[in-house]
Amino acid sequence: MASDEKHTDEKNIGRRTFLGLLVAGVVAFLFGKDVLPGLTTGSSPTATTVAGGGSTSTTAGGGSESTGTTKPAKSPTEGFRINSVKPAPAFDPATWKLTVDGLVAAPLTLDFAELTALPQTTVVRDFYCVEGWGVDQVEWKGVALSELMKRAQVDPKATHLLFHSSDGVYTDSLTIEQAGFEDSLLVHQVNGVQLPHDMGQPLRLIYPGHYGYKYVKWVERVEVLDIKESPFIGYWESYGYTSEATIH
Amino acid sequence: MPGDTAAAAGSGAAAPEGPAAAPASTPAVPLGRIRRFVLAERLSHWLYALFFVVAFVTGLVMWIPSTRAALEGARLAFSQYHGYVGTAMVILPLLLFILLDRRRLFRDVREIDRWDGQDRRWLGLAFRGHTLRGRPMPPQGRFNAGQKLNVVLVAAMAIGFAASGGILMHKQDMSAWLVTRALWFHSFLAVVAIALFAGHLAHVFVTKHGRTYLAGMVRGWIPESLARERHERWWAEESDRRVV
Repeated sequence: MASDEKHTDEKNIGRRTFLGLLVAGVVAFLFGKDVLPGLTTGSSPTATTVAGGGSTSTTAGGGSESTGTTKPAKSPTEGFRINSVKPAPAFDPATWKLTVDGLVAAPLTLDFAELTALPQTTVVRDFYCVEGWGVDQVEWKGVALSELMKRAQVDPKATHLLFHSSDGVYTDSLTIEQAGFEDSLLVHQVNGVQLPHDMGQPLRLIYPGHYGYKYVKWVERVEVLDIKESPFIGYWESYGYTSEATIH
Repeated sequence: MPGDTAAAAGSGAAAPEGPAAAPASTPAVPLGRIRRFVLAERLSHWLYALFFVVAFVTGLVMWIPSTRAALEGARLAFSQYHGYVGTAMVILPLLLFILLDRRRLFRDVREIDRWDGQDRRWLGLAFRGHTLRGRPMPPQGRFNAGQKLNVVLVAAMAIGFAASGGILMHKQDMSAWLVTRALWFHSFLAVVAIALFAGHLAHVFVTKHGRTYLAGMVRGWIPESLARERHERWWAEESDRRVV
């Protein structure tokens, strides 16, 4: 009968398969993202050819950037997942204003044309979301926060800049020191094209080297304040994320 | 190997195993039925299934951009709940199995580990579509080779889900290099798991004996006719041990 013939040619195939799958899993963990990157990123708007590619450069008066190199044709927002907590009003260049106020000697109110007429800085940096996805070598173009702070004449006792989104709920902050870094910008272009609406049009904060939740979209107000006098907490920080947003 | 046809005796996992445990005057199950799964196996199976479905739905909600956006700030708490469910999915069914019937767990693992020539031939023929076309297959034990492979795949993927999910639950303390790979791998495993789950359900609801197997995982027993047809070696072993 059948049971008498058992064990004659038995092999531990179950455990071998199990161990083989674990090894395959380690390989997939290490290299799968490079082979099939689309699995953790969202869809993208239409494709556009993108010019530029320098690391950091500054031009005066809104001049256009071109270093002579051309990136492969791709969508300017390829690889980004769109994460927003509230929809924001559509951008209207005729009415839009950026306000810089609070602990400043010279409050600023700039329309979009005035903003783009300021000295422009272009940086190329990797972008990481705290969710675990990222986009390599994103080109951002906009105005350095140091330039705005200089024009607004920030009070020496100020400790932070608080960025308000026009969605009415999202805020986040940088310290005065962080805002002074050369690549802390309010940007209006990504990869050579104007920011799409769902990426923060017309103006978005970038703070390279830190997680994307610091990159406030639809910035319409920069409030300069002293955290001791005016305590605040950013949107995601109120849910438990760290204010530092450091990428390890 | 201890038999359980007689031993279960309507009391599920709590009953001692082995021929000696079954009084000769009380057959384990009514004639024409054969006990395939004890309570510990069934509870572990359904608990894992429940957690898997909840983890799948919560994971999908976080993955779809529109539902992710609709969650607003609750997204963070939602991802934490997803992590808790995933943790429970990996730990609780196994813990329950160990607590209820450790010997049965070891027996199942042993059966799933050991493949003989007939198992290998069965799987080869199955991959060539013989089962779908109803062709004769080599005789099998309590688990056929496809069922053994399914358990191995689920177990390996549970390890993968646990490792990558653990990284994602502590992502703020991990390097971006590790977190980006963990997210990719977790998503990849989810896609594979859904395909496997869909195949599992298809077997239940599309194949000839699928609903009978499903009933077996609910009630614990399957008709002897099915055992004789699909699991001939196991049926023969159990028939030998039956005390009538």
